[in-house]
Amino acid sequence: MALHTLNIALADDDEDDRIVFKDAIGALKIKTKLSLFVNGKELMDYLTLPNVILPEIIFLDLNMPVKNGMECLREIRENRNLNNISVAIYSTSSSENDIEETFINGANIYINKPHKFSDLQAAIERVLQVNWQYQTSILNRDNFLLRI
Amino acid sequence: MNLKRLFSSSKVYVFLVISAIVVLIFIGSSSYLKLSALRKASDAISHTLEVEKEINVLFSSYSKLESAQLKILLRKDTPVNSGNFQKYLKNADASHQRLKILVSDNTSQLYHLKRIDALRNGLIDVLSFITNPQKSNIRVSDNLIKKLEDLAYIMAELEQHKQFMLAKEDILLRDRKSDYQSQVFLTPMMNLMLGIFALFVFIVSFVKINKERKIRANSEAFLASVLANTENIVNYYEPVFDENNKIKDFRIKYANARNKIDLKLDPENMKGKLVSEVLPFVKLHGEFDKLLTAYTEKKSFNLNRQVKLNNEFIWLESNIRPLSGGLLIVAKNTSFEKESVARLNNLNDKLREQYEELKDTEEFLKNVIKSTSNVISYFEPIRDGENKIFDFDILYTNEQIKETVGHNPDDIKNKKMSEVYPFLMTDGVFDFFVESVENNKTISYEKNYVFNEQLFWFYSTIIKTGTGICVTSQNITTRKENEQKLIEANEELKIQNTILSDAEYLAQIGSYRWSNKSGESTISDNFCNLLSCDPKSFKVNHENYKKLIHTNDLEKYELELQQAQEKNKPFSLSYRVITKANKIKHFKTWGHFQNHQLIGVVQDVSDVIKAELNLKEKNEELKRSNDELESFNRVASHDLQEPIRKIQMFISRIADEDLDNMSAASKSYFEKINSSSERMRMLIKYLLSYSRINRTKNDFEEVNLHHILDKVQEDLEDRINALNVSLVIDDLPAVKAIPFQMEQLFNNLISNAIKYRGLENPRIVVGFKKLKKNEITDDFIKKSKSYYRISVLDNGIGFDQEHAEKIFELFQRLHQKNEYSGTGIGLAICKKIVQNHNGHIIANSTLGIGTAFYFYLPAE
Amino acid sequence: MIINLKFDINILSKKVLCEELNALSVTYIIHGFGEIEITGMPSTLNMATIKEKLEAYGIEVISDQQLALIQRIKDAIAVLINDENNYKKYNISTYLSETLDYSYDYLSTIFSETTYTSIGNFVILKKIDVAKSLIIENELTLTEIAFKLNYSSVAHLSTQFKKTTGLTPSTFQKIIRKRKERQVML
Repeated sequence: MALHTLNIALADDDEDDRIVFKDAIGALKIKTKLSLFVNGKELMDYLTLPNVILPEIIFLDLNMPVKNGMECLREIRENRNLNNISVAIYSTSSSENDIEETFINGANIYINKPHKFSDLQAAIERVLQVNWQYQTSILNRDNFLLRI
Repeated sequence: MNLKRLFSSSKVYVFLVISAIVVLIFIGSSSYLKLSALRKASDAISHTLEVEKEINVLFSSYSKLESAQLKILLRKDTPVNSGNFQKYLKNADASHQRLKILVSDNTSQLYHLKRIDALRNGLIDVLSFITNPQKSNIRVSDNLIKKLEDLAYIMAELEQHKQFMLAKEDILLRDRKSDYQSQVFLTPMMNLMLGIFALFVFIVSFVKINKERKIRANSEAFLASVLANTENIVNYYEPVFDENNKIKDFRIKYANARNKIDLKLDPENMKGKLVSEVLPFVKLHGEFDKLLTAYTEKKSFNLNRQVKLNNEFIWLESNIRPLSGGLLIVAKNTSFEKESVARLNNLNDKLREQYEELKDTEEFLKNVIKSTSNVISYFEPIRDGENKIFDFDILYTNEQIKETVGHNPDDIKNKKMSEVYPFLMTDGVFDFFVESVENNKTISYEKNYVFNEQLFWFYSTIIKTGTGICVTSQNITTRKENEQKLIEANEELKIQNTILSDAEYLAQIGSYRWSNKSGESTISDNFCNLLSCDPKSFKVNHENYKKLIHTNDLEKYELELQQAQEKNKPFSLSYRVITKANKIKHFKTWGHFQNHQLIGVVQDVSDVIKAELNLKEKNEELKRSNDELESFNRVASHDLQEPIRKIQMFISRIADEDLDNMSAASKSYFEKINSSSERMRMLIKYLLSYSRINRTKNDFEEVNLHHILDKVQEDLEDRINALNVSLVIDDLPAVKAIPFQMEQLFNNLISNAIKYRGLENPRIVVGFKKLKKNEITDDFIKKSKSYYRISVLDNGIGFDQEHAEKIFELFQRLHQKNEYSGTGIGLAICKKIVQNHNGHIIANSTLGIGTAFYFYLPAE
Repeated sequence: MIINLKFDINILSKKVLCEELNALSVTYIIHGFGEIEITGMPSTLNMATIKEKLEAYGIEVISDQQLALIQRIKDAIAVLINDENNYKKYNISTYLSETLDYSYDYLSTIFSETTYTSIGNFVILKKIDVAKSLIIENELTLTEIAFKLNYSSVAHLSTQFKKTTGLTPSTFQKIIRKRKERQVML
């Protein structure tokens, strides 16, 4: 993994969140390439480009204008090409039902947007690491669910 | 008995006779034999004697011979005596001959005789020789001596033989003598026996014959008297044969005295006469042939006919039977009988008719008595010396008495009234009885009695019957009871009516009865009140009432009415009326059809309806406001979360980057910003949590509170371990609840208990108790029949009980921020959760000791 | 003239790889994670040559042996977890070193270098993974699953499950079930 650069995508309408995320991921030892999108539409447009290098993980905020996280999630899961991508919902506090709903709709990970920077770093690192195991090992990807 | 019979049987007699004859013959023949034996015996003896004699003769002859010859010799005589020799020899031979004949049956004697014969010859020779004188003397003497020797020898031998023979004969004689002796005794004996036996038989026969004769004589006499005195005609006929040996007539051999009476014929005259002469009717109607047949075939027959004799008609029943060479006729004059029988039959028939009638009557009477439900008794008065009645005999009581008094009719029969019904003697009934008997009156009365702990009422009637009285008692207990019940019911009804009127007034109810028939419809007073009308003001019937119904509701009223009537179901409806006071009222009616009448009640529910409407409106308002509030809450909390998160995020960034570079003052300010923001975050988090608590039925499930507490314990694990908290969890029930909310509830309570701990190691006890609705003293609306009261007890700092209700209010805190951190929302959340579950939460505390939180959850 | 360059290593390395392999007439499939599958190569060629060529560009071929060993470790762990009897007897270190005939230190070093996670972590992950499958199968109770996977109690399993996935077993089950329902509906 050290040599391998992970392709990561983040869709969040909040600029501050994007910056913070970028900083957090940048500080990781893991080599990553982060693509940022301001809303769901941009993300989906990108993902559906031909010959595009697909990210390994997509981080999705739920509350976005134009196209919100849930819609994106559904579209990603319905798209055969995109089905193998791990999707992490990256959102502010939601009710339990809403969280479960994201999983039910196909999200692999749910991250509650932390309040502390270090928490964010730890969360991202954990996600990446676990995701890596699922990508490379004999673990059942269908059951890959993680909540932070 | 058998023996007697044996004796009188003739067969026995024959047998006896035969055996007697046999015995006699036997005895006779044996006597005869015995006699002949005797004769033979005596013959034998004489024979033996003769033999002996003869032997003696023979031997005397021989002796004589010998002596004669010796004489000669001695005398040397001339043969003058030789003639003697020849004589003696002849005798000897004759005797020998005779002997031979005598002993011809005895071989040994014969043998002897032969020897003797031989010896004789020798003897003769010798004797002859010695008598021969011509011989010389010398030689003669030698020869003579020899011869004399021979002679002596021969004589000796003869002697021997003679002795033998004699001995033999002696023996024989002895035997024959004894034989004779025995014979001599038996034979006369036997003869005597014979004689006696014969005599005996003779006597017995004589006696028997005599007896027979006597009996016969008696029988004859008896028979004669019977015949003479019998009411039957007894005649005996003997047949009279003609030349061809065919019976042409019968002769009357005997006729008894009865002939005189019945046939008016003299029996003496009848005897010996022909039947056809004396009884000419015999020749008629084939009777004679019958007589013939009877005789020839030895068959008996009966005749039963009317005959004419001497110009008289007589009914004769005759029995003709063959009897030892004749016919025995036994006839009876049945004329009289015949008539009697005819009369008797008549009488019998009449009697039978009467009997049948009587039986019917009896049967009828029996059934009447049986089927009646009345007690029927018959009493016979008992009078004293002065002919005053002092008691009654119970001669008869029917079965019904069992039903009432319980007596068995048979038990009380023939007992006295004073015994069985002592109470009747004193309560006037006895006097009624007496009066009825003495004055021949029929008396009726009513009385009640207690039998077997039951009260009976009787209506009795006394009728004089014969010498006694017949008493019929009717059990009118039920009637009396019913009468009483009716009276009571009436009273009750009156009271009910009064209560009903009052009830109607209170409940604003009116009752009605609509009838198809005019004039029969009624409505209650209160109904009129409800309609604000004067009871007298309008004609009460359904049509008029319908005029008061609100026009919009009339249709549905009619429809419902029709349906109720057709389907025979209750008439239930809410509708409006316009009262006489022009007010609109809401009525609710409930009635049903009964016997073509509609009976029911109406209730004025106007107020209720109004209140309902009000409530509905208020409810809706409330709901709207609630919804607004909730969504406001949620949105606000959620939207507020964003900025606070950002603030905190960047605070942490600054801290990471430049905290060390800050001045002390900045650091402290920074710290304050941090803590404030954190506080804000908590507030918002809890507010959000609070706003999120709502109830959706789907979220309720069977929750095992132990699992919940395990989770909570886990969540608080760090603090529990760090602060040495002892968390004791007793038994907890399973409840129907929202799991997540239960978790929050316990989490908050236990967190509080930990937060507000005392100086010693915190100890928290969680337990429960199941209580019934009426056992709970705390004041809240208890919809459920029983509740679980779950308790969370701690040994913390406690609080003043007067704040016990305040603490559950939103944002209410009892301490300063710097003393204990907190949002003041935690318990509000708890309260909301508990209320969500239709429960109730209370707190009990003592400052410095500890706190107890109790919350109730419905147990069903 | 100074121009600033920015290298995209990913694209660069991928391009180099492809060019080189194509030049060698090797058919391959890129799996995208630093992994390529050689599907065919000329008989005259051997791995050593390919390795040499790539190394010139700094592309290191992880020796088959190492990967194979990692795989074997992973397989061994999988086997042990599924075999409940043996799992109780052994601890991981002894089991692995005995089974694979290497010292545990060596194995764990190799493992963490290559997979970026410790064997211990992986074991936990694998166990929870198996638990997830069993939970979805729904034929065993949670207690039975805990026992099968050698947890001391259901609570222990639940705790580890929650720690690893952030969800309780029941929530997990509910989500998967609803997912399936949703899929059926679609």
